[in-house]
Amino acid sequence: MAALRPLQPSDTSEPYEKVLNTLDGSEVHVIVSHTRLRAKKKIFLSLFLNVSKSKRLEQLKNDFISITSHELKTPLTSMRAYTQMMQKAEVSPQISEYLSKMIKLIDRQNSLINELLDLSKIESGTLELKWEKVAIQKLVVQVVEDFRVKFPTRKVVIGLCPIQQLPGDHDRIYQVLANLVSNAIKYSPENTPIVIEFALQENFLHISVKDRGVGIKKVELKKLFLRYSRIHSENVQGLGLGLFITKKIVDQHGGRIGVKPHKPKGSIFFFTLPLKQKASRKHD
Amino acid sequence: MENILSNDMTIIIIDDDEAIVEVTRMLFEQAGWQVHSFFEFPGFSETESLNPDVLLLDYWMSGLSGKELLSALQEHAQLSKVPRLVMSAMQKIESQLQGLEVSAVVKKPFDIDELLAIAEKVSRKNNVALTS
Repeated sequence: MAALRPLQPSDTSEPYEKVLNTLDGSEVHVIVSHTRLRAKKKIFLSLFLNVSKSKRLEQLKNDFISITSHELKTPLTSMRAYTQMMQKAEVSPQISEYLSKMIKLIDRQNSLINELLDLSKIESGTLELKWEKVAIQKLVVQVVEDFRVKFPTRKVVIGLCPIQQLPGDHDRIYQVLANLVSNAIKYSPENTPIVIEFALQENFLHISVKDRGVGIKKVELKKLFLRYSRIHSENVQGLGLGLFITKKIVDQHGGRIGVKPHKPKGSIFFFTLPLKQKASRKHD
Repeated sequence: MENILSNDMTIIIIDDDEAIVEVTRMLFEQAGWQVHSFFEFPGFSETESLNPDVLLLDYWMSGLSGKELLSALQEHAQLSKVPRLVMSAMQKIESQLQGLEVSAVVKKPFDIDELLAIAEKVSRKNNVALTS
């Protein structure tokens, strides 16, 4: 019998998930990994780790979050509608201002619920993209117009996109850009412009959001895209999930996201999107 | 808010949440619509007899699911011609609606001006193609 040779890192395949059907008709979720023991005879050791129980628990958790978020949004719907209707009645400018603040708080609450839902999907690996052809210039204009309603005095300059469309999930790309524009508005002075630019870099579209704000400290750069991280922890509300979710969406598209200084003052947040749809890995 | 002149349009609102039914009823009534509201689907014959210009439906209700109801409506000889406006608090409602014919989707919590504008836009009286 030939001696087993020392194992190399390249001998072991990347683990992947698979659903196996048992003889009684039930399904078993397993994580599979193959290790090559003898190169010439193609002898492999395959490990199957049964993860059915943790999958079931994960599904229960996802269902719980999904149902809870639905139930939390239902009363918000009536609250927002009544608040808007009150605002349309004859109320003093001061009351109208209070009601505007209430609407903003309701929208904020709704965003927090959506962030929790996204986090749950990311953790369970179920953040799925709906691939379609996205008219990117139109999408950017839509994001800026939507912000213009809330921040009518902020100046946002949009460059010309060199391509008409690319593959991606329209709503998720909107979410990425809206998050970056929202941060730029939040962290830069009112009288400074925000600039959105496009560039083609090999097989990717490069989109950047430039501001003239306070910039990002070097120590903050490393943890910026981690969960529960905030750009400037003081005076900022929220869960610190926005950039984490944004990064995961860009990753899912096959692009990358980053930030660099905008000299002499400010930040440039950028992300890239591939011009061709990212191939998904499948195992039979 | 002042009650403006009737716009001669009828809407049926179906949602199992009492507060949402109440507020959307007030909203459409104040905008001059004739409103019929229900906490569950009232049945095909009653819906047909009310001759609605728009059906505003919640997707996730107890009893008949949104999917089943929308499928049944699009198969119905007369009611398939009535624009169906779906409201939902589900984040990715679009994926649930694949293969179903709906005129528009409004995500909860919605903006009341947006809801009114969409309802008017999709309504049968403003949409010749659906009535022909």
